[in-house]
Amino acid sequence: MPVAPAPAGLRAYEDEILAPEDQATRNLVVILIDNSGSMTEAGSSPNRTRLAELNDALRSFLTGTMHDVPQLEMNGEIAIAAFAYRRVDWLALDGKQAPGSPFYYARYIRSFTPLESTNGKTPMDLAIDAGLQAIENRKRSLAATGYVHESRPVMFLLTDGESSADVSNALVKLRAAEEAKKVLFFALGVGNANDGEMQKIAPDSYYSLKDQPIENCLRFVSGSIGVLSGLDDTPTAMYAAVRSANTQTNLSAEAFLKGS
Amino acid sequence: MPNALSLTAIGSSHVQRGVPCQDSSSTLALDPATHLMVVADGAGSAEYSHIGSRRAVELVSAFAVEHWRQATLSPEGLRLFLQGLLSHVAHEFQISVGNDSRMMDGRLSDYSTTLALTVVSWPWIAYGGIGDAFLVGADPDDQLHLLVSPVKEGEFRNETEFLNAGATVNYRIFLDNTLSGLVLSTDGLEKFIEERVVEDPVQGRRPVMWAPSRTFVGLLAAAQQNTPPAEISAALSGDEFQKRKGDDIGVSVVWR
Repeated sequence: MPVAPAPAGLRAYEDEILAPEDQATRNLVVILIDNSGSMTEAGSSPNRTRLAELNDALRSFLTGTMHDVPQLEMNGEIAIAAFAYRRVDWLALDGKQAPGSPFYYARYIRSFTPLESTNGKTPMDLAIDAGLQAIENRKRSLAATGYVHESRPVMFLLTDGESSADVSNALVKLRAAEEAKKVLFFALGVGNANDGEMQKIAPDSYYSLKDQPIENCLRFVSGSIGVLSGLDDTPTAMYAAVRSANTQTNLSAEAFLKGS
Repeated sequence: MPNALSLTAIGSSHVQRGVPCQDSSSTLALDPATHLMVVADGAGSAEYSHIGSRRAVELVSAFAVEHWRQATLSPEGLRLFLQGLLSHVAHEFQISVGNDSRMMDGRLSDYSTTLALTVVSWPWIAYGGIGDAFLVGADPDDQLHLLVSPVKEGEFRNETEFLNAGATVNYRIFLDNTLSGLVLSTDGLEKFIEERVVEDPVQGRRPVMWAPSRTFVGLLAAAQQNTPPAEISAALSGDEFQKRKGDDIGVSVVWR
């Protein structure tokens, strides 16, 4: 944004910004990360695994770019889960955790402990289920104590493969949650992601980023949250707004992902 | 027009998306002693909402003086003025789609916009709004008062209602001799209203404390010093202000 000197007396007062846990409104973001065995395969360079690249990208996102997104920095709560075998593990992040939930106040996150490799499979069904449940639980908990949600919760799924189990039951719940305007869901495919399956999982919001560094997936997360700010419409319209921002008006997908 | 200013500032998220500023604003003289503040916030997801918000403000400008001639300075008179004007504007707005040369494409929903008005005839202040907006008052000691809050109904705070003939109008009428300045704003500045949830040992926790930022004092001061609107607008589009929400800002300011 342009840097313009403010007229004398017109200032934004940093000392007035409430701590995120004291703010009356919240933005919930969930990131589901495939940590199956295939993540130990070579990434965009032969010398580094996808998991190593993912860890770098997560560190860069959580300690840097995420803090430039007002919806996260001001009053955002973020939860990140890694899924492998038949398990979904919510990551212990830096900073303050919202009581009784896997969500952390984004503003306080300043470091990241890398994920360790596994040789498990890819239980996307469990991951989607767990993400929806975590959002619903947090929303109920906040609403019960007088807090409101600023905008629709957003869930991102990052994978390099295909689900090792039938996802149809999870998709029924996901579609119902989308239609009820309870969540927006984006799927991001890297490595050997099965594009056909992912397009069924996220018909309007799957992005194949196989030819790009994993870091760009996290840039997509930041960019999308910014685009969705202030929007309230049908899921199709919301997804179209993100896709349009990704492609329209001389912005190439790569430029968008780079935050241009 | 003396003692009044209006401006818009594009938000960082709109710059990122490559879409224009979708907010519009204006301040009109209804008579030598009365201002009408106007702000409109085009829906982020509506393709032509930047045109819609502009059209809504234009229509207010076109009909306001005519309606004001029949108005009386009383709570009921001010409410009827706002009701009549908003109803007229909503009707004309709907028929603009397909008739106005800038609104030939799409449906009404493609031009969705909020619309909020405030009549100021000191000490009378009358607010009428469709969709979200808020009104801050300042007294001569620079104490700030939130006259209309940015609270919206619905599951999510960013849900709102848009200008149409059946829309619900939120009215607030004040008779206040202590106020000396007013800022009517779209939700682009709502992060400059501190909303704190406080503990209530009996009822649990509820959002009950509202505190407008000193930024509104600065905005009023900049307006009173005849700072060019473009200069204020450029500042509001800058990082210092945009890092709180990243949204377009539309404001109307009056003072006495």
